Amino acid sequence: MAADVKVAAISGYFAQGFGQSIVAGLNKAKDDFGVEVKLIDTGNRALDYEEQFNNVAKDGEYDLVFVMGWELVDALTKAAEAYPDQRFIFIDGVLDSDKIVYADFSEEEGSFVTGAFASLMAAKGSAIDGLGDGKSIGFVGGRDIPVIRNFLRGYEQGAKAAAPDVAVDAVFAGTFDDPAKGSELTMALYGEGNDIVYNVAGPTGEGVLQASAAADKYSIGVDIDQCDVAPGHVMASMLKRGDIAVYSLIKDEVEGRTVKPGTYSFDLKSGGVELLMCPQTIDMVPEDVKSKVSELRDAVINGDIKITE
Amino acid sequence: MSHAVELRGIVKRFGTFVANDCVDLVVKAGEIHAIVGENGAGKTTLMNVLFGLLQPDGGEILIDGKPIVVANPRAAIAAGLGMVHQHFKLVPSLTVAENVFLGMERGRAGFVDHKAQIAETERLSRDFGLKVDPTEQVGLLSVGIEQRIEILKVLARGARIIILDEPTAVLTPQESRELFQTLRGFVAQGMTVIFITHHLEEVMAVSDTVTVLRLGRKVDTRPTADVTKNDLVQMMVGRSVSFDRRQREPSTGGTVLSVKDLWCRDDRGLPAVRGVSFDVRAGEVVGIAGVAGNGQTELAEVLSGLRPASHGTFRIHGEDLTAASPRRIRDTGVAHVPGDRVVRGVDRQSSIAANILMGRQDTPPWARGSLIDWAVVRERSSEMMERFDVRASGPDALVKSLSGGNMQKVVLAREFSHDADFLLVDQPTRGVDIGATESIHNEIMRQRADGRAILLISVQLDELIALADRILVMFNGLIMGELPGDSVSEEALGLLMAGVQTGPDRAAVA
Amino acid sequence: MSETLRPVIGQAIAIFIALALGTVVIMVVGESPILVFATLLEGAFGSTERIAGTLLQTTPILVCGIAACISFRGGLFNIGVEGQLFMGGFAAVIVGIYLPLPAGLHMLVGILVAMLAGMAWIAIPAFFRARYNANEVVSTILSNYVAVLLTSYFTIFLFKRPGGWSETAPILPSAYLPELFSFSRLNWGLIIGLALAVAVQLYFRHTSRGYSVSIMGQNLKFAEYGGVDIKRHIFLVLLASGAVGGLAGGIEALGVHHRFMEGFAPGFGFDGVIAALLANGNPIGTIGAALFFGALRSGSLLLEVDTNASREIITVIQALIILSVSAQILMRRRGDSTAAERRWKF
Repeated sequence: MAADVKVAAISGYFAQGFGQSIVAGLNKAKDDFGVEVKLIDTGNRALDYEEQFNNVAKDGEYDLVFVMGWELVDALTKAAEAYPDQRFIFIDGVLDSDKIVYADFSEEEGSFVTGAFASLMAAKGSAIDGLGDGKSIGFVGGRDIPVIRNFLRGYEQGAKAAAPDVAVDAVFAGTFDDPAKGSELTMALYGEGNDIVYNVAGPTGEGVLQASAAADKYSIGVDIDQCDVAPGHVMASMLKRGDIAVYSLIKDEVEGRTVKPGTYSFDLKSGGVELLMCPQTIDMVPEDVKSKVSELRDAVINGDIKITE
Repeated sequence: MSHAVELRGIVKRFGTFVANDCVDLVVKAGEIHAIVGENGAGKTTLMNVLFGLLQPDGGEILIDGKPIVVANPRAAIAAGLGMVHQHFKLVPSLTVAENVFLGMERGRAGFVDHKAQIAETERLSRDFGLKVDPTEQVGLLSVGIEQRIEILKVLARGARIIILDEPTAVLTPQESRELFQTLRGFVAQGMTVIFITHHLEEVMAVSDTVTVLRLGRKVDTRPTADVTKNDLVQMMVGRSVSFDRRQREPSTGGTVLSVKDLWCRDDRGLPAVRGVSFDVRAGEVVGIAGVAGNGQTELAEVLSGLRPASHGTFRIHGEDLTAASPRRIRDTGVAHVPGDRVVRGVDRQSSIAANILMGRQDTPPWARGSLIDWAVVRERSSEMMERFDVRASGPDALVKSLSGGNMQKVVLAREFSHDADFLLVDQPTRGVDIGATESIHNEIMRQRADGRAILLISVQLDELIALADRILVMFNGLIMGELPGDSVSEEALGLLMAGVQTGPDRAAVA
Repeated sequence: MSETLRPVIGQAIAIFIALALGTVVIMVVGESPILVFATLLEGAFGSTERIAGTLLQTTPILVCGIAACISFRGGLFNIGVEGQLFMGGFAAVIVGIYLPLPAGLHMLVGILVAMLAGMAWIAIPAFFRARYNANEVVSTILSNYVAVLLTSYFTIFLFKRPGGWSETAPILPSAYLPELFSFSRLNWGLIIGLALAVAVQLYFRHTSRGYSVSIMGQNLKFAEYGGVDIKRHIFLVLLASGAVGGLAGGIEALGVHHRFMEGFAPGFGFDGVIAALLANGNPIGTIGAALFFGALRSGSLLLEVDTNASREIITVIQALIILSVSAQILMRRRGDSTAAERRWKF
């Protein structure tokens, strides 16, 4: 059974951060289960996408087809209609179609832990280099859209649960593509005493991280390991583990738990989201902060803490 | 005196065209040797053979009395030759010194030794009186200085025999005089100079010896002191074919073209036509004589609207067309047989029919509405080909497959069939064989008899004597004088072409 | 006959050399050339749907190629077709979204506006070429980058559909260019392209202005001497070329994508220019060249899935074709000019 499983992945981002982690998950599944893996790079021509989906799906050769990238949504939806027996797995989002498998990350859970960590650190105040009075922490979102609100919700509730006195100061850049704007907003947040800023803003967020180095303050990365963007200033990264999502879906399939259309959530419990404390700064994190963060994380996993809508 | 260069029986052919036909040339060491001739006389070809850029089809080359094979320019340089081309080959973004040593950089361990190059350039510049700043960037310098750099390049490569191809073509008179001084300096230091020109005053001013080429053959080599400009003109222009003067009725028509104090500049922005005035009447052929390059081509271009006049006017039937477009001038009744036939006169890639169509692509019956009626175009073209004796397979034959004479007949067929009152005919028989020349002359006379006003520009005196009612002689952008066509002496014509004014009213311009 | 056949044979040899070199490259990367070429053929022509897919890719290359042909015929090089396509596509989408009109009319207005946008985009390079003789190759190439970035900026910051990817809202169905078959996105754009190729060919052959432009393209000095208004014709030829470039964008927008997005149609303008070069500026020949490049593109998509060869191999083969074709054209030009010069420059 196992050796017969064949999977394909379609994306234009295999060379970039999140895409690389998906490739890593596929390769691990190949090593562990002997599944056949095919990568299809979509390139950048919109005209090609439909044809590429057709080519992958036409013979029903692949058990699972992973799809990553919002520009492919149109072609994916059409292909899901045209090939109802083909299971497509859309990574990192949920669409309208009920014929598609969705690998969704519980960003609110990861952000809850992130908020707890940031507020606890801020509450330490000037006991830690570069921190001030610790009354509030910052958040820079890309655009004010539901998915980003979801991040913010977790972040706020985490902060509140860990250090009730610390407020959250949130701003939205209005764009995901403007690092300069991210940098500008971050500087403003630092000016108002928010010494740690969490970015959920794609390329705009690069500006957030760079501003933390320029201002000698702190920031938190998102999606992938961003510790190296501004070493010593990025305290942590909230990871969405594409590799774990891909690997665990393939594992289900290989072990006979057939993957079916619907939403698969990847949360703290499954390791799909997690907070990575950056190695460059981990020594300055007090033990009590570490244990408190870990305690809150376990509470979310156990269901003792529910993140509210 | 020994011989620096000796060429024996050099033959160079391009296809069926013979560019150099058994040319002998002896250049003595330590002299300035001018080579003169009209465009197309074979001067540059001969020098390219000497410098190894072209391989001769026959003959031998001796340098310093020893026969050598000049397989390529490198061999020529090794033998002590250097050539300064008409078009400079400098890199504008590099400095003077870098250009001088381009391709033979002075250096140590793979690095260019800029200091040594600059010092060397300075030494050459001082020794030979060629003032340059070795550190300046070439792109910022004037043409005259660029030429100095080209000469320095040649000197830096150790040349003792220096060839210059039309060195004054791009220079102002001031720069030319400086160049001549430099050349004098070279021979004073024992070097030999060969320079190509078609300006006779330069020959007289600077050379020790002069060789005249015409139509690929050497006419003669003489000590400059023993010849006059007039002699040189006779030798350059010569009389390759003798035409008899055509019989004609006296012309009686009114004025068609009227030119008043017309000026224009050449491509370099220097005055080419400097205040000419004349009329051409209906039923009259007015000839313009002159050594090529004295403003005739530019005059024709102004009259056809292809070059702006800088001053003065010209009128056709009283209408001022000085600033008019080529289209408007044509519409007013001007046909133009251009001097540079291959460049302007035809489109070689197109068929004869498509060439004949030019200028009438909007006119019925050639076009109906905005559609071209190719059936009519072909039919008319065939008729014209017959009338003008164009020898080709048919109206669809490509013009590039035609001989020079037939190509020219296509141009005449198109232009003479426009029913234009004024025909501007520039070098109608250049590069055309005798038979075709005869029929072209016949056609010009027929047009005259039909009452057209014709301005015939030619560098061939016999052609003018055969056809023109009056001959105007141009020299250096001016009309030096007018001679009646029926009693012209070649002597008088030659003097005017050499810039010697016979009348009392104007001083010679040299 | 041999005069018209000679360039064709030349191009065929150039393509053959490129394919031979491509074979070597394929072998070097450890793939079987036979498998690669067979897969390419299968991917391009293996079934009705695949042929439709190939024609779908061919359409924008063809229309862009015709745009380039028009400029080539006038002796000009519009290398900015890519930019005109982007501007035309974007303009058509704006009309498609915001200007509700009856079906059919809406589409026609969209196409027209696309052409105007392409024309507007080349107007500045065209003006400077006609008036000041500023090299149009450089100015049109540069205008490509501006067009791609500008449309992308507009899409993201002014017209982005709420949520989702960097794309505009969809156009109204009344502006759709109808599809030809139910099983493919192949649309009337192909018919427009084919008809246009024939029309342009006939135009240059049979109209006064077409004749004037052709002659201008072959010998500018002769045309000037013959009374053709050079500046005016240069300007008009470039505008016409730009309009057809815009049309290509309009077809892609109204016929295929029904919206504008990042990655709208990258590379089609450049492929069109190459196809036109390959066809020596002949619009009918461009049909064949465009089909060739369209087949390469569509075949390469299957290559990615069915073999271990990367699609980039096709990019390499295409680059090799461009190289050998341009080398071939350069050699021919050189032959011609020396023949011309020989008569007068001794």
